[in-house]
Amino acid sequence: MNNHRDEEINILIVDDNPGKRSALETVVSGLGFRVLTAASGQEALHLLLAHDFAVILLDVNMPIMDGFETASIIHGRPRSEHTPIIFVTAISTTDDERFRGYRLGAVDYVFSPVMPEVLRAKVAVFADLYRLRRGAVRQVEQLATMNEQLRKEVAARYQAEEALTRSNADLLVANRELEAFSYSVSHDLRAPLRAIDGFSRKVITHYGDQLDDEGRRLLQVVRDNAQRMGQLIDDLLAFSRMGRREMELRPVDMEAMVKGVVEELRAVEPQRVIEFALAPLPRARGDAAMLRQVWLNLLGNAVKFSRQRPVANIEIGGRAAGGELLYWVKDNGAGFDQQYADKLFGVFQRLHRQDEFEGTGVGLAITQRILHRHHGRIRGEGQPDAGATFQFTLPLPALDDPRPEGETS
Amino acid sequence: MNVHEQELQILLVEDNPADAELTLDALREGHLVNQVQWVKDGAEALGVLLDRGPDSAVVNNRLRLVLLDLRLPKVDGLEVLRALRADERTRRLPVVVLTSSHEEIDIARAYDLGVNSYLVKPVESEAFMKTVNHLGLYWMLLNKLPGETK
Repeated sequence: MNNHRDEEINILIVDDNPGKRSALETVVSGLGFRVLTAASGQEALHLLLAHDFAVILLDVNMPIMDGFETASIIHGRPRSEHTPIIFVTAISTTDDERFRGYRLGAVDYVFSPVMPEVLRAKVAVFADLYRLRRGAVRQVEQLATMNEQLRKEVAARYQAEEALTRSNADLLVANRELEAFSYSVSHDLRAPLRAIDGFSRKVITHYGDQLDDEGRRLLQVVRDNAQRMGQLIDDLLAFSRMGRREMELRPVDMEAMVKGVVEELRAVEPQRVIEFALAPLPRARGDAAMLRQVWLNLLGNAVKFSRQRPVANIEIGGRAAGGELLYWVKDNGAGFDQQYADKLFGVFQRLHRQDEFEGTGVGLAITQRILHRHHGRIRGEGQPDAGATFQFTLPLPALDDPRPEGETS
Repeated sequence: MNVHEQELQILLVEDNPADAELTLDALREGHLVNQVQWVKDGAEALGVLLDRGPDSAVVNNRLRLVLLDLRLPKVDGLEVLRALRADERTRRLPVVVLTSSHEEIDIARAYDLGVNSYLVKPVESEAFMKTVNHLGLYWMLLNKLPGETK
């Protein structure tokens, strides 16, 4: 075993006779230990206040306080109660005296004149024992420290978990309230609008001939607004549902999805000239129905806001970039003023007048909500009358993601 | 609106008088209104449907269709549906839910309980008329019921 500086091992030699003391010191000094000496029992006890010793060589015959008395005090102190003591005594020591020594906790005797090899061997053994014991004690202390740390960590984690459970429960309650709220909106808010619209229509149908043009126009305004309110409620409910709906995450072939959406949009306005430029799109992972809604909203907007162009140009692209997937939709439509860009994604926020472009201002809010739920982001850039570009990101799918079903290449 | 028991073919279960009036308007356009009885809550509906007296429409196999709102006082629409499906006489009676709710949970529950069709009442009144008209024609003229094949 190596002796490091901080791992120093102390040996104490106690003898009132300077000659014997230095003789013993000489014998053990070659072992690499730090040797301290004391000329009396009192001096030895003094040193014990400041140091721990691997072993003490203790002369039995000393004036004032003899070796046995010194030993009994040493072993009476908790700090040194297990410190081994080797009594150094004359060969003439009686058995009686030796038993007294053992009762006091002596671990061994050496007889003077000492045989250097014997003493060295004994001291070395005790030093090894001491070293082992010290190592064990340190390990126990380290374990205790680690235990304490672990206990604190467990307690902290438990607290965090409790807080999480609490806020989870709060969220559940809030969610249930929200569900109950939108349930009653869904059931109860539309019925009066149906009556307003339906009965206005009855007036126009049955009493239209008793009204002048202005009277009929006024009723039509009532109807238009009832219908618009119905649309607002439906869109708001759709927005709310999008936040609560459970997601089914699967690999999604974005290119095929976009092709489907493009066909659908073309069919709605077959008379228009719309050039779609579709670049290859990387696959994503997400809820297919929700991601389809994203494309439908973005492409639907591109189609809608390019209505006044003789030829609408809509570019769709995507690539993996910076550890995520990036997709974009670019159009040559009406665009918007960039200073209002932060309003694009708010519920019921619109950047165009109702008589320019119809809509409730919920589509982009739903789009953003879907992307947030997928840990993605969206932003829009535009210039009035010079088109708009919308970019969104999604996390890269894991490498072992299986391909979408039904594909072979 | 009460019709003579002999003529009752459609039972409209609707608590909102405005909705009921618009629904009856639409059925009138389809010349089906004389065969309709309107009841205003679920309890009243069950009173008619589970009546086993000698003049009962169900007992006499005349009833062909129930138009059922979901949000009803006393006994709600889904409870009415459950009771109908649990009764041997009305187990196969066509029931069409006609409601304001788009909620997925209502649609799923209604189908779980054995509804034949689920329609959401449009706010826009032309669309509403058309919806009720179509469903009246379909269920009263086109649809076949058990025991009608000669």
